[in-house]
Amino acid sequence: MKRLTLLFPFLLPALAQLDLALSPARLELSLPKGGEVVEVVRLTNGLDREEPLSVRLTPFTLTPRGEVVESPERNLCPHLIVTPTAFTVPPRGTAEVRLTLKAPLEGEGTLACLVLFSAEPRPAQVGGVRLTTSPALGLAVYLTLRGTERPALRARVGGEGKALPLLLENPGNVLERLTGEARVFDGEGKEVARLPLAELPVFPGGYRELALEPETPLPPGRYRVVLILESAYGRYAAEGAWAVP
Amino acid sequence: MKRKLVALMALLASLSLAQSTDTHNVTVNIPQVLKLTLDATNYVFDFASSASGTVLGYPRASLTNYEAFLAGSVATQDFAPSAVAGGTADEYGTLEIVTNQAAWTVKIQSIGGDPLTLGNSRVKVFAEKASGKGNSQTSAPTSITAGLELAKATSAGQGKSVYRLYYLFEMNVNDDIPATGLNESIAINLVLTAP
Repeated sequence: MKRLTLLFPFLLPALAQLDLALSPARLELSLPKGGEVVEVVRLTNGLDREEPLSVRLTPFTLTPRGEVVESPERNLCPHLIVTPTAFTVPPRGTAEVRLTLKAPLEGEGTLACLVLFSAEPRPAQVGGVRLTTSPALGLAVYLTLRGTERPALRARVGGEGKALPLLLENPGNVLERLTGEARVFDGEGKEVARLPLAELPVFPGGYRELALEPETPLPPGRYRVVLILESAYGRYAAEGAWAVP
Repeated sequence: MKRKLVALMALLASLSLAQSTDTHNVTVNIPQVLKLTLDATNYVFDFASSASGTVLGYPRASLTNYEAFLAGSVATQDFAPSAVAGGTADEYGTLEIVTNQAAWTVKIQSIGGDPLTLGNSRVKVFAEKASGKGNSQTSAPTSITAGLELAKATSAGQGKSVYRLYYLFEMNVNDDIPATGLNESIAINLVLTAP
């Protein structure tokens, strides 16, 4: 019995130190220049203790690999007011945060800002080198200035590889969020695969490089690919050849 | 007469039923969800500790293992933590992502606190995918830096995804440790985003 008692602490599952949910996951808004809107986002704490959070704004862009990186271009942050900027989410409860967005009088296309809801670092014990991880949830906020949109998209599909190479270029001034699929046909015109794309963001003036991997690898050979994509601004199609080694 | 009355009542009842099932409003409300769960928030590398053993082949930070390294023949050695507060078996932290978004990314947003005397680049991280969606972006130990992606889904990332976060600390045999020893900490700010 004593042995069991001693072992018991080691049998306990790891307990979550942070359990935080954000809804919605992002905001995509459209306003005329000078227009104003108030949005509410909710943060939910899944733990039995309160969770103090702080808010920080940072402008961002997306790299060709889809990484979120800080960038002062297309900066929406000066036009965004978040209240409150520091608050506590109650145990097993929800807190609401108001985002007031006032569209600038100048500029065009889509602007962006990342709203970071950060938990406080947990105090670390003393001794040695300590790493404390301080997790955060990032709310991507996009605002498109209505009446200034110049949507455009260029797609290049095909090439060589086990995964289908795809290049999506956005020479326009608005965020393109693309959904669709690449349909793959063999030499006899028979469809052999469909490779889906869902809600993929391509930043204005940027591009994305992707490699779409079929669930089941295709046999070596040459294939014809038809790419059909759709965004809020229309439908796009492209065609190419794909050599699978 | 009675039969007619019954028939009339049946007709009225059916009409009434028909009217009550004429229109329905079905309201569907599906919120976007982006949820992060993390069990370990502190990783301790205490080279004066009595921790023993290895984690994935890396010796734990302890006096015994450190002395063995100093007496050995290799110039550098990656050490596993002596303790991981809240983590699993003092080895790793578990990161869970639950979302209905196709694309998401977990990265190091920034590194807070005064830089470590031996340099923040001595701290290495790697994320091991345990289950779910997306892929690790640090399958091999990688020095921490602001902007480093740990895990990412570019499509079909919906559902629950679980990653194990391992941190290591690199020691160099030429490190000159001050008389007071090194008692320092840094804060690694992780962020989950669905851009």
